Amino acid sequence: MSRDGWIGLGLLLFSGWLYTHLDDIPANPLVPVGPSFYPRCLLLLTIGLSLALVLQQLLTARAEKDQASRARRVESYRPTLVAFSGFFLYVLLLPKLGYFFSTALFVSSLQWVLGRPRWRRLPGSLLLGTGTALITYTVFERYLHVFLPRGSWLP
Amino acid sequence: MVEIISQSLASILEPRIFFSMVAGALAGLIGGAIPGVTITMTVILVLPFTFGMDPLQGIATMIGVYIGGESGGLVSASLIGIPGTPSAIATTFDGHPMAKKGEPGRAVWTGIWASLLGGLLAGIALVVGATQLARLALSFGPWEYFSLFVLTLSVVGALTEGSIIKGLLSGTLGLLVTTIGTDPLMSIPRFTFGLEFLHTGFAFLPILIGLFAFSQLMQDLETRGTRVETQSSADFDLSVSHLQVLKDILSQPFNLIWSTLVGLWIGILPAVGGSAANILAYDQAKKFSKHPEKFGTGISDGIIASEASNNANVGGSLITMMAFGIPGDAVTAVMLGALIIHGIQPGPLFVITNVKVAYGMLAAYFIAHLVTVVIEAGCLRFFIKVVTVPLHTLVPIVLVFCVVGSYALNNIMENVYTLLIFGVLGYFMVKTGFPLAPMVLGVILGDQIEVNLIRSIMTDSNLWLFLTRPISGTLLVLAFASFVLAIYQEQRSRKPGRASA
Repeated sequence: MSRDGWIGLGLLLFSGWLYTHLDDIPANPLVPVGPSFYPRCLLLLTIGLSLALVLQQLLTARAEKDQASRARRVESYRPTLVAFSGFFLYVLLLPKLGYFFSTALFVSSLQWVLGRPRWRRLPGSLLLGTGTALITYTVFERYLHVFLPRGSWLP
Repeated sequence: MVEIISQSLASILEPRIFFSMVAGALAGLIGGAIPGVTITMTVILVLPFTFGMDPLQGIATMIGVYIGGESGGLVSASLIGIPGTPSAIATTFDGHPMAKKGEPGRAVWTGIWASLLGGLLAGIALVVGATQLARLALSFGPWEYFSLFVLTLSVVGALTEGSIIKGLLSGTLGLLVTTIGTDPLMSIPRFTFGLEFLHTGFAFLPILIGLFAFSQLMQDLETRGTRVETQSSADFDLSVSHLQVLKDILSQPFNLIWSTLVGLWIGILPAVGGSAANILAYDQAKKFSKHPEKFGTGISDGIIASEASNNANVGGSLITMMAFGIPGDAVTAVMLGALIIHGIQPGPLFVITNVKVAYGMLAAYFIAHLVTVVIEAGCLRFFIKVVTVPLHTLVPIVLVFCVVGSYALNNIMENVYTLLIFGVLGYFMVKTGFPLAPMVLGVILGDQIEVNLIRSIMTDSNLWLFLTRPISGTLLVLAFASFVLAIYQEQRSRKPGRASA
C-alpha cells in the first residue's frame, strides 16, 4: 500500500477511536439534537473519506507516480530538522528562561547554525540574537503593553 | 453613504491611524519583496503589534500590509526574476524579460501603476458589493447560512490542487478541530479527555500561524536552502517617464478592466487567493491579445494583467469577508481572526453594527493604495537591497514573531504549544499532498456551521427545508455541482496522455 493508503488507514483508525468516545459526551434534554450530533456527522464523514482514500490507493497505481515525483525534487532536510529542533527547544525553554534570554539564545544559535557555522560568525549571530530580543522586548512590553513570558527559573 | 465614507476617510487620516497604516504598507512592501516571506506571513508578523490598538487602527494597519505586500511582490519579480509572493508569479513572465532588456524602471512602474488602477477599480466594487451583499445576507436564515458554508467548504475542498478526497478530508479535519472543547450552544465539553487546556478548544490564530507561517518556513528551508544570491542595487536604473507608462496602461482598457474583474472574482471565491488570480488573468490577457506570441518576451500587457488582478483580488477577498464573514484568502483569514480578538464578528451584521470599522476599512483600502505608490516612489532602491536578506537570518526572527503573536493572544503558553502542534501538522500535510486551505476554512467556519445546523433543526426538524428553501437549495445544488465538476476534472487529468502534458 502507498503512503496515502497508510495515511487513510491512520485517519480511519483515529476517527474510529474518536467515534467510540462520543458516548462520553453528556446528552442535553433541552435540545432535540445533543452536543454529540455534529461531531458524529463529521466523524462519519471522515471515516467515509478515509475509506475512500484507502480504496483509491488500492485501486490505482498512484504510489509509483508519487515516488517518481518525489525522486525528481531536490530537497535538503538538514536545515528543516535543525530549525524544527531549535524551535522545539525554544518553546520548551520559553517558560523557564523567560522571553528575553530564550529568544536571544534561540535567534543567535539558529542563525549561526543555519548559516555557515564558523567561529568568526559567532559575534554577529550573538549580536543579532541579543538585538532581536532587546528590541522586541522593549517594543512589546514598554510601548504596546503586550506582556511576554517571564522565566520560572529566574528570580 | 457619501457622508459616512467621507467621515471614514477623515478618521483614517487621523495621524495615529494613518501612520500605523503607512508602517503597515511599508512592512507589506518589504515582506512582499522578500522571496519566501508571503503576505500572510507578513500580516502574521504585524499582528501582535495590533493587539494594543483599537479595532480600526489595527485593521487599517493590516490592510496597509495586505496592499503593500501585493505591490511589493512585483519588485523582486521584475528585477531579479523571483516573485516575492505567489501573487506576483505571472509578473516575472514579462517583468523580468523587460528589466533584462534594459527597461527595469518601466517594468517596475508598469506594475506599480497597474496595481494602483486595478486596486482602485476593484475598490468601487468593494464599496458597492460589500454593502449590497451584506443586505442580501440579512435575509438568510440558519438553513441558508449552513448551505452557504457547506458550499464554501465544498468548493475549496474539491477545487484545490490535487486529490479531491484529500481536499475534502482536510476540510473535515478542520471542522473536527472545532469540536474539541465546549460545544458552542450548551457549553458541554467534548473530546477534552480531562485536559484543562482543551476545555476552551484550540485558539484559531495560533492554528493559522502554525499552518501557514511555520510550515511555509520549514518548506522554504528544504527547497531553497539558507542562502540567496546577492544582487547589486546599483545594477538597475529605475528612471522612467511616468506619463508614458500611464499612457501605455490606459491604451489597454480591456486588458486592465478584464484583469481587474478576474482578480475580483477570484478574490470573492473563498480561500483561492491572488496566486491563482494573477496566473488566470495573465492567461486570459494572452488569449484575448492580438499578439499572444509576444507574451513572455517583456511586453507591458502581461505585467498589467498580473498586477491589476492581484490587487483587485484584495478587494474581492474583503467583499466576502465583510459580507459573509468568510475569508477570501489566507490574509483575510488572519484579519478575520484579528477582528474577532477585538470583539467584532464579521458577517452580514458587521457593516450595520460596526459602521465606523466597516467603512473605515473601505477608506483604508483606498488610502493604502495611494500610500503604497508614494512609498514605492521613495524607497524602491531600498527594497532591492532588502530582498537579499538571507533565509538563515530571516527564519529565526520570523519564528520569534510567530511565538509572540500566539502567546500575546491570551498571555498563555498553551497557544504557543498549539502553534507548534499545528505547525508540525501543516508541514506533514503539505509533504503528503493535503491542501491547507480547506483545513483553515474548516477551522474558521466549524462553529458557525454547527450553530446554524442545530438552530435550523431546533426551529423545524424537517431536514427537507435545506433543499426546499430556494436560496438554501440553490446553494446546496451548487455545492454538489462543484463536487461533480471536480471529480470530472480529476478523471480527465488522469486519462493517459494528459498526465505527461
